[in-house]
Amino acid sequence: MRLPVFAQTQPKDWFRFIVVAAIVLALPLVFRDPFFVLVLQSLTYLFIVALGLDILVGWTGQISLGHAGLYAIGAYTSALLSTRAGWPFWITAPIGVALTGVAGALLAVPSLRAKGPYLAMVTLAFGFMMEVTSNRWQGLTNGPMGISGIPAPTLPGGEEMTPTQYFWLIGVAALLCQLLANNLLGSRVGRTLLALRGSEIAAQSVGVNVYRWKLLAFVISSVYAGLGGVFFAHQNGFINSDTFVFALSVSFLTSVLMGGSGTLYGPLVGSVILNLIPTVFARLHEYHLYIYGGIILVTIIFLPDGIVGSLLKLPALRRWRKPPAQIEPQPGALAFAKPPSADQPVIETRDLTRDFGGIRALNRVSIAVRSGIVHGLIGPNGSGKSTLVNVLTGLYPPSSGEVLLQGKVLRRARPHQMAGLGVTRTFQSIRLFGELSVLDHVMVGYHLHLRAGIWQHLLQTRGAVEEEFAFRRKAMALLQFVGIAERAHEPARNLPYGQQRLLEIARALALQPRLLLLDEPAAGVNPTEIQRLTKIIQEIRNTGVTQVVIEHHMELIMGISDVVSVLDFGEKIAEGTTAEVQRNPKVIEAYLGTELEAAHA
Amino acid sequence: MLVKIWQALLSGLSVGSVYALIAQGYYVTYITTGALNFGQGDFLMIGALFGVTCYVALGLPYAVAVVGAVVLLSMMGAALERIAIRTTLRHALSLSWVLSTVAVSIILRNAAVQIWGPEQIKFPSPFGDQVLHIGQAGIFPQELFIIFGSIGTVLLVQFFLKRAVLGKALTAVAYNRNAAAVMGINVQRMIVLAFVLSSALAGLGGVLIAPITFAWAYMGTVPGIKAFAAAIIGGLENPIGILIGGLAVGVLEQFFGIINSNLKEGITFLFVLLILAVRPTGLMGRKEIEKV
Repeated sequence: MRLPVFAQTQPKDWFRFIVVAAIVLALPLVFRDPFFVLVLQSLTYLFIVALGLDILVGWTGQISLGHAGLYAIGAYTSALLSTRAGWPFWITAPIGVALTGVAGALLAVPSLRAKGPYLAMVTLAFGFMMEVTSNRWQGLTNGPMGISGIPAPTLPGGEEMTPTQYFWLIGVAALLCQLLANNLLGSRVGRTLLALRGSEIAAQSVGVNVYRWKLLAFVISSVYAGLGGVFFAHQNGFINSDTFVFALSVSFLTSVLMGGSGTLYGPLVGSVILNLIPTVFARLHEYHLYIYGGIILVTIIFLPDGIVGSLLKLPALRRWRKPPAQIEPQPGALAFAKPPSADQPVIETRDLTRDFGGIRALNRVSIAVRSGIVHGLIGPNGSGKSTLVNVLTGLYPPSSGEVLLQGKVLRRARPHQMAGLGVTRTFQSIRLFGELSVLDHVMVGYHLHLRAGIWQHLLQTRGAVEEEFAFRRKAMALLQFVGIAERAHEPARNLPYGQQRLLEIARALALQPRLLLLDEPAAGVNPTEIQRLTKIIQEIRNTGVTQVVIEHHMELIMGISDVVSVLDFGEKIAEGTTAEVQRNPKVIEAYLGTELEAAHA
Repeated sequence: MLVKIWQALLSGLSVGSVYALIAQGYYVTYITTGALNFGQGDFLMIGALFGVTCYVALGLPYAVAVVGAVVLLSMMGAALERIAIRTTLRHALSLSWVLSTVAVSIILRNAAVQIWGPEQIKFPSPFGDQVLHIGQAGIFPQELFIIFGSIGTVLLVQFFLKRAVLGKALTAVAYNRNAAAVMGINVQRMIVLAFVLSSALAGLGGVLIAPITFAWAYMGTVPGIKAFAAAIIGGLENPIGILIGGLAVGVLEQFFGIINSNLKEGITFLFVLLILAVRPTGLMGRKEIEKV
């Protein structure tokens, strides 16, 4: 049976899910100790928060030291609305969760561009701000005195839930949270986030709006934290400011890292173990900070992949994993180009100038790239070739002059917008997406062509599943085209250098561009592979895609280019067919001149 | 009102100069390793409590307490580098050192409670409690000593990094680790030196401020984090920016303290969030252009 939602889930999966759910929900019936039921509740909602945190840590690579602040927003919102306004749990809980999501979106704003310690500061500052707010804004939160009389959720009949029933509620929510996270992170969403983590610039080059996706990750992560907070607030009927402190944020982060970030089930394992420790060592209270600090240190130093991560690396478990299914390439994946539009240049610069501080990297450069050709771009080192590519793809704004795409002047288009207009590139220093497989790199390349959004992937609707499958076949065809299809399921970083360059071309072709800029595609590539590269560039031209190729490899550039432009010291000194350029005295001087100077130096 | 502002400025400079002192430690390790000690505040706490033992319990001169704290913390800095930094710097998650240094600080706090107890301990100022008047604002001699001592030390550190051979070697590692290694500089030793220096500054900060606060096991967290905020506001790679950032945070807090004591606690964090939203590498930090 295939349902229209959860379309990929087999009956076997449902069976497994039901067994796990039954075991979890039976726990309070087996161990009837009321204290045990409370511990179970805490473990479960703390796990929900850790799971959400891992979406940030494991998938976008961002660390958050302020998740206690988000947790606080969920808890206080629901607690205040139910005690002061008297609203029932079923209304206050969604509001608490939603408000935390909004807070997460706000928190994302200063987080988007900050990196490293600066990013750590953003989340830390947020956490401390919420700590101060809950402690000092007594009119709202009553500070350390806290809010009491928070009601437990009611059943349809009107009576309040018993602790066991409340655990069932939290348990079902947690199971759903895990299921939805698995769906989301195993799908296009997880792949795109991992791509950003690997290289923001490369992700932008195929049209990923980096800010929007990071924002999404922050919001989802916050929603999970808010839900955990709501469950906490209604557990004992009392909350105060002592809970929402930096140490709690550290503990969330520790449980993620202890379990293994980016492993789907790491947060579950980590938060259960970490949060059981105080219960187990209750008698050693005097030493509990020693134990706690020691555990963090040992985990970080000796288990950098976490418990689940380390287990997954065991050879025995690796073999046990299913081999990926064969994917039949879809013929015609390259037949996307529109016929070249007669006389209009695809892209054109007029008096383009770009300064870096006092250095003029490009000086009034005017270049027009005709449709459907290979346009070579050469020049000695430091002549401004890469800067030109970076301006054409929107990475750097021009200092003056303009860029026209098919006759229309571009106003400050950002790289992902340029990709949307059909302009993409490869990179001189290869930029891959970290751990992603070869095939997934190309799938990220299809970003702008995939229609199924986050909700469809969350529910794994039939549409999303089928779209994914169709595009896998197309991606396979592109890999076949560049000749690395047999390595589709390996991590891309395992490919040899030359094949990584070919993968970049396949990824760029997935965008189905009208203009492809290749930035030194032959650098560091061996002679056999250069032959293959030459053939690939020619075949791409035959499909009608316009290409700009930067290269130092003269044999290659003179063999494939229809037109060659020469840059020297940021200025265009020559342009024409390969024969014309080779005869041009200025070009000869630029090249030999530098060599003579080099010989003297 | 004017007196209040003048008073806030003076008090703010005194607190702020301690932030600047601690933050200078962040700077030194950040430029050499890209990491910093998140438990810097607890190192400061150890410095203060060790000062208590020397000055209050053993009755040694204040100068001995200062030197003793600096020496002890230098050794702890070397140990920290070995335990929490060297082991985590190469991890895939680039900020593992955040948690490993936090873990060390948690352990230190437990140790402090066991050695010195959980109570706040009074540390009488060696310069007496006689309030000095500058304009119409009052200031303790200790506060003046803090301002001059801290800013003087910050300048001394800068002098060391720019002029002394050892300091230049450290700066060279910060600029380019590989090139420095080729020039025969022992990079690993310089990294240790950076953490020694950073921790020594925290220890000094502890003995300096203990007489105007109290010394106890939980005194470190807030100044440590606020000094971090100051460094971020100034820009982690800019020592002058950090000095200004530290003083600015101190003064800002006192100003907002005039309006509302609750606002005082939160304003630094709000401020740093606003700044990072606009300038992701701080007010005076280098703007990063990624080379493609």
